[in-house]
Amino acid sequence: MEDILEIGGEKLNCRLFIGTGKYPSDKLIPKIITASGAQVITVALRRVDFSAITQNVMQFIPKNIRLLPNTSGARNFEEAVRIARLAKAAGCGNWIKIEVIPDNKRLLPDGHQTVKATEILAKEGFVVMPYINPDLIIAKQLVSAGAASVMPLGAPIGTNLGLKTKEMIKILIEEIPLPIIVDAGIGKPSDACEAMELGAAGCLVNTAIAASNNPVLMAESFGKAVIAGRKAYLAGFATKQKAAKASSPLTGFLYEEK
Amino acid sequence: MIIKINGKQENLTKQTTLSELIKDKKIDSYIIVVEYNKKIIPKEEFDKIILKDKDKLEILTFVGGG
Repeated sequence: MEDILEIGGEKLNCRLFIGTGKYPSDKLIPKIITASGAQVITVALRRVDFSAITQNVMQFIPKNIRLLPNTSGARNFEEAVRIARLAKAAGCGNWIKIEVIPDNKRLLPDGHQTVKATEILAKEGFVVMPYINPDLIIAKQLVSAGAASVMPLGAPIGTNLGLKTKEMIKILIEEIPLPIIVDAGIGKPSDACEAMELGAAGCLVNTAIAASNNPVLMAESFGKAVIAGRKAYLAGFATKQKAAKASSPLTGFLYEEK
Repeated sequence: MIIKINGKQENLTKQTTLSELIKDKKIDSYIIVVEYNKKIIPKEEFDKIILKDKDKLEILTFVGGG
């Protein structure tokens, strides 16, 4: 059965998106991509550090992989728009993950500023994927603003706490007519699997893979967990019952021998 | 002539174009984007820009991120 995720006119077979931060070495990235099956990968934009001209992360990202630059570092919509335009000018496509984070302690996104940035960038032809708290009202505003998907957080960035916002994410999945891609907080493959079982369209994972003892093996595990969760969602769950109900026929002949 | 590159002041002793500067900095193989006095400059125009005193350059590239 073909199961395609369509975003920004692109047809994706893999619903796991991966980040490129925090790896012990960027050289691992091609292996991570292969092991996970990911077709979309996030990067950030930064000043070139002239005191440390070494290899650049881009050298390790194959050309057929869709780049999803983020606007990390942006504290308001103007900065997010500026970063998005710069990322596009670098010549790596028009996808952008909007991240507007005014506070470095909790790293929680500013929904209002995110909506403003989305409005401007969607009009300019960007494929906009905003990162938000799973807030239904903000998510609806993002739909009107022209977002291509909505990326709610499962828990604060880098915490590996899992789907702490599960009930709110469920509401977004039910109410928002865009792909819901759970981003941030996913710590284990079972968290990603759970998000997919709920009906999320995809997951974005970075820290849980990059900071694992064996990132390549963990990438493979996440790839499989996302597939497993997605297939389970498509299959539909059997209903829960309070009373026990045998799944094997209770063998009659043991009683008949008396 | 003093210009600011990524927030740091640098002294250029001779006339330099933007593309020469990028070569001197050994980042010509990088995927970069340049903001010149707050304006994004397409790559094709790098050799047309002759740097002058008090110019401000932001030279950015992609790094790992989530």
